[in-house]
Amino acid sequence: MKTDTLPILSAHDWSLLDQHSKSASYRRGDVILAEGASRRALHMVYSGTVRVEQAQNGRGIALALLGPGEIFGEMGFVENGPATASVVADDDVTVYVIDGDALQSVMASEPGFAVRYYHSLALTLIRRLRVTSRRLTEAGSAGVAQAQVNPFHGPRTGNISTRQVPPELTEGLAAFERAMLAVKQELRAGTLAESDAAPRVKAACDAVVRLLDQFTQSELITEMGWSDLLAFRDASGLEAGVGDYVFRETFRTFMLSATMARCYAKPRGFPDDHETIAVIYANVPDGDDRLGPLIDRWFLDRPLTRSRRASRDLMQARLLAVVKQQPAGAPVRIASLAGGAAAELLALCAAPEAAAVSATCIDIDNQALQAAARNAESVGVGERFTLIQGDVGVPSGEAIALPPQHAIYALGFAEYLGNDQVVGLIDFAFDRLIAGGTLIITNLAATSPDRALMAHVLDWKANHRMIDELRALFARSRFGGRPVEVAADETGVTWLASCSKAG
Amino acid sequence: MPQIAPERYQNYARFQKAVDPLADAVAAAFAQRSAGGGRRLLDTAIERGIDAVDDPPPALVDLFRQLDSVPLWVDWERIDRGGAVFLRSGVLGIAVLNLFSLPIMYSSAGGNKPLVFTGHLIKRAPRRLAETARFVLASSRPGGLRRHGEGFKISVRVRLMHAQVRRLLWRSGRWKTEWGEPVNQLYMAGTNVALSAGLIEGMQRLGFRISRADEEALLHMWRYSGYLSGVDPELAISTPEEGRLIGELLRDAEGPPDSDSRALLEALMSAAYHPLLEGKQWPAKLSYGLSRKLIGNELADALGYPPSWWTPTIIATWPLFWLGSIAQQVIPGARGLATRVGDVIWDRMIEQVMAGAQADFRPPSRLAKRPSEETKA
Repeated sequence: MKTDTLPILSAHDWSLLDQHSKSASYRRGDVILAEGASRRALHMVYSGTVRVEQAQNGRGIALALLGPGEIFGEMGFVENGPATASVVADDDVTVYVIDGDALQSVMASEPGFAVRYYHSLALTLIRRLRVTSRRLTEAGSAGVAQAQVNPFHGPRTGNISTRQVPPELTEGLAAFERAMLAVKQELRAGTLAESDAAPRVKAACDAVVRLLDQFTQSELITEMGWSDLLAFRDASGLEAGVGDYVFRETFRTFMLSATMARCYAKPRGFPDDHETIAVIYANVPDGDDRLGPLIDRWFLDRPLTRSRRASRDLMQARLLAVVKQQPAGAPVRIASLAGGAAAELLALCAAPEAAAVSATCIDIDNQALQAAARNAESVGVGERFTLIQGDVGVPSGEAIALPPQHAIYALGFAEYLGNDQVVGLIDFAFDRLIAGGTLIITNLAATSPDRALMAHVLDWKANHRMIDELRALFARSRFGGRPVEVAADETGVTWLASCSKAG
Repeated sequence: MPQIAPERYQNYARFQKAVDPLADAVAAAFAQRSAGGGRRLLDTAIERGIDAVDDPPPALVDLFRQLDSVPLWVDWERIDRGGAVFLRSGVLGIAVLNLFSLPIMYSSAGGNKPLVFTGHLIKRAPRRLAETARFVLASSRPGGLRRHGEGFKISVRVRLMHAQVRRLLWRSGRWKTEWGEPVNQLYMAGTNVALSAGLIEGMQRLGFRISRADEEALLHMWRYSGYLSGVDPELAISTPEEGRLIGELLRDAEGPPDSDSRALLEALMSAAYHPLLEGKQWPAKLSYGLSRKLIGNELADALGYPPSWWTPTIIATWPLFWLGSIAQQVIPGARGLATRVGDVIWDRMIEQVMAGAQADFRPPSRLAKRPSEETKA
C-alpha cells in the first residue's frame, strides 16, 4: 500500500498505515461512501475505478472518476463532517480503508507522522485546487468551449451603413416579406391549403438563404465597402452587417418557427443543447401563427437539421461496427464527449448486439446528463450508463479520469472548438483509449449551405472545417501519422473523422 | 521591365510601397467604431476643428496636426492666382481634364487597379469625372484650400477614402503585391502631376497661353493640395520641369497600359455627359480624336483608341484658344470676367453630369462588376 497522492509519507509511515488498513471489495454500483455519511476513514483505491458523484434529481452525476492509487474520504477526516459526495464502484473495485481512530492513534504515537500526513494532504489539495483554478481560467478565456459558446447575444448594429446595404438585398428581403404575408393572408382567408402553402414558404425562405450566401461573398463585400468608404467598414464588419440586416428584416417571421426560435435563443447558453437536439431529432414541425409550423417544416428539412439526424445515425452505425469488432460477449467501453443526452449511445446500448457495452457520458450540462439517465433507465440500460459532469473542451479536461475505452466519440462538438482545443480533445481521447481503440469526431463541413443561415440569422457560431483541416488536427495530435478516415453524412454537411490507436 | 536607370528605379520602387501612414492610422482607428461613428468624428474635425472632437483617437489628432500646420512655403496669393488660371480655362480645362489628364492617369497599369477592382469607375465614369471636377473647382476657388475652404475639406475626405480603399483591397485577398501598395505614393503623386503640370501641358497644346508666373502659381496651388492629400514632399513639384521629370519617371517605370487602362478609357470616352448625347456616336469619336492629339499616337494606340478623323480638327482650336488667352491678358477686366465665366461653366458641367446629385465623393449605389483578366487572375 503506497500512493503518490500522499507524497511526503515515508516507507515506514506506509508500513504503519498498512498495519492498520483493511481491504474491502465492491461490485459495480456498490456505494462505498454515501453522500452525507459521517464515517471518518481514509480510503485508497487499490484496483478498479470509483465514481465520485452527487445526486441530482434522484440521479447520481459523477464529478470525477478515481483509479488505483487515488484516495478519498480525506476531506471528511479533516473537517470531521459528513461526506459531500457519494463514492460508487464503477466496476469491480478493491479499496484499502484506514479507520479514523486508527489513523489518529498512528498520529499520536509516531513522531512526525502527523506533520508529514497533513503536509501530504495539503499538497494533494493544492494540486486539486490548481486544476480547478486552471479549468475556471480556461473556461473563461477559451471562448468556444462547450459552456462558453455564445453565452449571450452580442450587439447587432453599427456594422454597415445605410448606403452600403445593397438595393438588391433590400428588394429581396421585401419580396420575402410580401410572399410570407400573402401566404399568411390566404391561409387565414381559407383560400390556400397548407399543402399548397408549404412550397411557397419554402421558396421564400430558400430565397433568403440564397441572398445571405450571395451578399456575404468577398467580391460583393468589397463592393459594399467601396460604396461608402467614409463608413470605414472592413470586410468582416460588412459581412456581419449584411447578416445584421437580414436578421432584423426576417427575425419576426423566422422566430415563428419553434425550432429556429430555440436555436436562436439558446436557453442553455450554448447551441445544440440536448433539448434543441431532441426537437431536431423528433422532426415534428411546431410554431406560432399559421406560418410557424410551415417555416419550422422548412427549417427541419434544411441540410443542417437533416445532417444532425443523419450524423447521429451514422455515428450509431460506426459505434456498432466497433462493437462487432470485439469478441462476442466481451465487455466494450464507449464514451461520449460533450454529447448531451447521447441518443445514439442509448440506441446502441438498447440494440441486442451491444448488450456488453458500458457507456460513459461526459458533459458539462447536468440537465443533459439527467436526461440521458432518464432515457437510459426507460429502456432498461440505466445500469450500463456512467454519467460524468465535466468540460472536455478545455485542456484541464485531462483531469477527468476514465478507464480505457474501446471507442470514444464527440458528436457535434468539435465545431465549437478552436484548432488547439480540438487537438486537446483528440489527445484527451487518445490517452483514454485502449490499444486499437477508436476515436470518432464530427465537424460541420466548410461547404455547408446553411453556414450563413446559422451565423447570421440564428446567431449560431461554429467553426466549419475542410477535410484537410480535420486531418491536419489529427496529425498534430498524439495520433500522429495514424490514418484518419473521413466520410460525410448523407447530406454532405457533417464530416465524420475516425482514427484508431495503434494495436 | 521598366526603361529607367537602376538608381532611379530603386527610388521609384520605394514609393510604390509607400502609402500614407497618418491617414491609414485614422482609417484603422475608425474601423473599430460603428459605421458612421468615424465619419461623425471626421466631420466634426473638418468643420469645427480637432479641438471640438470629444476624446479624439490619437491617430486623428496626429493627422489634423499635419493638416492644420500650414508649411512656411505656402503663399496664399499665389495659390489663389493659380486657382484663377484654372477657372479661366473654362470649357478648355474640362476638355483637358477629360481628354488628357485622366487618360494619362488611367494609363498607369499599377495605379488603375484600385479603380477597376469594383468596376466603380467603369460603371460611373461621368460621375467620377464630375467628382474630380468638383474637387478641382473647389480647390481652385479663392480660399478653397484654406482651413475651412471646400477644397480643403474635400482633400481631407478623399485622403481618408484612399486610406479606406487600401484597407479594403489589402483585406480582399485579391490584391497582388506586384501592383505595389494600393493607392500608393506614386499614384497620389501621379494624380497631382496630371492635374497640375499635365493640365498646363494639355491646355498649352490646345493653344491656351499661360505665363510662367501663372504656371508656377498653378503648380504652387497643387503642391499645397498634394500636401493636404498626403503626397510625400519628395514627390511634390514646384516647376513645370519637375513635373515633366516626375511624369516621365512614372511613365517609364509603369510600363505600357494594360487591358484595365483600355477599359477605363473606353468608359470615359463613351459616357454620355448630357441627355441630348444619349445614343449618339459622334461625341465618343470626337473625344477619341481630340484625346489622341493631346496624348500622342503612341499612347493612344497603346490605349486602344480607334482612328478618328476628328484628330486633325484640333488644329482649328489652337488659334481660337490662343486668341482667347491673349485677350484675357490684354483686355482690362477680361481676366476677372473669364474667371467668373469659367467658374460658372465648371459648375454647370458638374451639375449637369451629377444630374442634381451632390458630388459627395461616395459612389451612389451598387457598382457593376467588370473584372479584367488582370484582376481576375
